[in-house]
Amino acid sequence: MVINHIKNDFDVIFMQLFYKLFKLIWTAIAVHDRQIAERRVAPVIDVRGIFGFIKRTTALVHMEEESQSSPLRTIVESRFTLILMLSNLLIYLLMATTEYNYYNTFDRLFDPGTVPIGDEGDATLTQFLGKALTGVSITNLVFGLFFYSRLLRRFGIGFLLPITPLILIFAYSFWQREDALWIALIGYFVVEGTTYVIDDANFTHLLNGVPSRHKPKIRVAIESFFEPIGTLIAALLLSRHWINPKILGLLLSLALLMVAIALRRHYLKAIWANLAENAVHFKRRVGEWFQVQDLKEAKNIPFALECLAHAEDRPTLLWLMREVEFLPAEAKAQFIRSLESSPFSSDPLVIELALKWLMQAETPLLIETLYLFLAKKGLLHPDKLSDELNSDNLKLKGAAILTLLTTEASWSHKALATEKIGELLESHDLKQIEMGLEILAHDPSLQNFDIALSYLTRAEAAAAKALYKMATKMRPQRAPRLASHLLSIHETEAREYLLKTLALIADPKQAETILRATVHFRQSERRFAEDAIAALGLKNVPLLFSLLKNTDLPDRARLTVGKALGKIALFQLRDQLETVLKPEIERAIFYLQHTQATSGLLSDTLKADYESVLDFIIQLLAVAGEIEDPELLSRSLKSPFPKVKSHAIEAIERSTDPKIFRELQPLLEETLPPKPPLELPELLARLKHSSSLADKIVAYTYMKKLNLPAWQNELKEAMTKSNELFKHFAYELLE
Amino acid sequence: MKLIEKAFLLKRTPLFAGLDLDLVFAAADKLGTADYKAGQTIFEIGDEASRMYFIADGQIKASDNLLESPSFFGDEALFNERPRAYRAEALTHSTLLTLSKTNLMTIISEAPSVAIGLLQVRMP
Repeated sequence: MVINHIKNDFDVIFMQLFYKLFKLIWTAIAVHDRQIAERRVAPVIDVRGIFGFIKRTTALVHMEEESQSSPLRTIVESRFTLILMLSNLLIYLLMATTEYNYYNTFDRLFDPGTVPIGDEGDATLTQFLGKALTGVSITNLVFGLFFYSRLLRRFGIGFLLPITPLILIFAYSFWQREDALWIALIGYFVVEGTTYVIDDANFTHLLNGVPSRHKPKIRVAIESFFEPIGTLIAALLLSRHWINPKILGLLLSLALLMVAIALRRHYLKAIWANLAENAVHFKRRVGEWFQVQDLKEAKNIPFALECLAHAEDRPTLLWLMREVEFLPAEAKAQFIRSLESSPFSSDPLVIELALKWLMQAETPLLIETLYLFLAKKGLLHPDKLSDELNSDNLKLKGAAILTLLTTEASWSHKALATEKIGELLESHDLKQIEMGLEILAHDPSLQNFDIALSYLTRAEAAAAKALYKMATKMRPQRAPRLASHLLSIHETEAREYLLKTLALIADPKQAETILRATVHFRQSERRFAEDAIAALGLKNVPLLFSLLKNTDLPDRARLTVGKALGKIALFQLRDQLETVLKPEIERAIFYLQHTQATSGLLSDTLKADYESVLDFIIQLLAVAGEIEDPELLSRSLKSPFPKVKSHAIEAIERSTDPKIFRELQPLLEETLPPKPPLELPELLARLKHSSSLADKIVAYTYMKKLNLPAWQNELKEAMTKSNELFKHFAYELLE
Repeated sequence: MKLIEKAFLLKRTPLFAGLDLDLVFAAADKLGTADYKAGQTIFEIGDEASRMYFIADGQIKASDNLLESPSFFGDEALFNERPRAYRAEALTHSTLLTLSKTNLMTIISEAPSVAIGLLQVRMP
């Protein structure tokens, strides 16, 4: 019952600390006066019983908690936490001891016997303490407001830690010899001043070094436990007449100085350990991220199996193979399908498992999946499946075709199988076409690649998948046709496979086509485009930089190159960042200045252009690792609230290279020197040649409005090079 | 309404205000147009919700609120799959731009900041 009450981590810490404290006090009493301990205390309190109970209870709980890394264990394992706790205990001990010492001095110096007769009623000591407290409070306020953070920033916490012990060592060194008021005042200043404004604030920072998991508990334990304990121990020690309180103070100050040095030494290591413990463990095995429980939840099975099968981690695969054994046939089929495209599809253990399941399987879904899987590996005998060539079951038919094509079957059987592929591909049923393409992908010839390419408009995803499977053996000659399809297909899965195929072919000539297409992509698709561009490798970095600087490309396309460069050539990107950003800053300044010089739609467009270039700059800074949270910063910079905007500017200033920030500052603060704007026709000419579709649309709208010469011919010419959206606009304008 | 007018109307709404103008034009291309006479009902309580509306011109009474350009309404029911919870009626001759649920989802998938804009408007 009692154990249940104290099972909570907190109680365990307290019980164990209480046990140690109780033992310490008992030992102190017993050492000092065994008679008192045995005759007076023992009959009232069952000391041995209390020892036994606490020891048993904490030991029991400790055993249970041991396996779960309890807070106590965490504290014991963290040397920094132990030193921090000791430091706090010493501070509280010193506070009580110093308080005792200065009150002794005040008591002596303000003794009513030494006060002139007639002044006894003036409460001289109280008045004096009131004045001293006012002085200390004002000092605390000024120090806390203006100096602490500056000292912390400039010299670090290591500088602030020894301040209190050093002042006290100085005070106690003199206190031994003379009981002067100035020394007592130093003690008073430390107890009421530095312990609050320096040591308390230091403690808040030092807490960053304790294990994060139990930080709140450790904080509460330190704050609510050590103060009474420190006071109690100090009271016990000071009540012993053979202990000199000033020597005790000096010893405690020296101990605190040593502990401060130890804290200083361990602080950075503790912070590092803490960060490392809380970092995302990319090297952790994928299996560890998933619990077996996740797999037992039906809805999680497809996702979990797919993730795990692609984990490229053999121990995970082995673990998964054991777990899948207990799952239903549908999950087993899903597992096999997921493994097909994983690096382990030909692993002997996987093949062995598939063959074992085929012998045992009763569910048609699992049987047909296993047949198709094993047929793709060429592991089925043609005699077994030749009858399935005319099967209505698509997977069995596919397995039969594949088996006859990939094994030592007769020529007549092979010819029949080839005929069946033709039938599948010519079918009007999408499923049959998909199966035809899947089979086609197992023979990566140029002819099959062209056939799959021709199906990109009819069966987008299946054709793209087949192309991807054949891509490793393709030369760049087919890359232009592949890249040209990026815009004509709409399914996300198809786009992703096409981009993966282009990444495998890695033809630098297609980089610009891929980038132009990305403007119309979703974010997830854009990530595949980044990979395709990054796959061009280090040898194409100069080309990628030229694309990044090419203002004829839309900003979003250029950002994709920037992100790809961030992946493969971060140091070069950082090196060239200033050069890359300079024209962008000029572009943004141009838009901002003309926003102020124009009105109506034109002004709105230029304002939007300015924001768009600013977004591009912010994103590029983030890609180069100069800033974090680019989306948040972009939104804050556009905020109507000046405070939000100034915070964003401050955040950029803090982390960006000062040279870059100096260039950016007038732009961010919108404090630009006045410059004569372009004449309207000149401005429109510049906009109509911009990479932004909106700029072109607005430019032609104004050209019509102003009836500028040949605007219709220019618009018609622009239509030939533009996308459907621009054509839609142009038809409206020409009407 | 022309494409450019639709785009700049969208740009004035809090949903699209922070969005790149090229994306706003692409979104504007997905909008339909509907005219309502004064007093005409746009939707009733319990109607199936399949689109949201941007007011291009006129005054609309929606759930006892008087709305004018560039306000928008009818987006709430698109996310909770429930029928309309209030009635919307044109108080004057009004021109509305309509955005279907499918197109809204496409826009959000291309520009997630539109969803953030919606959250900011609906959960101030």
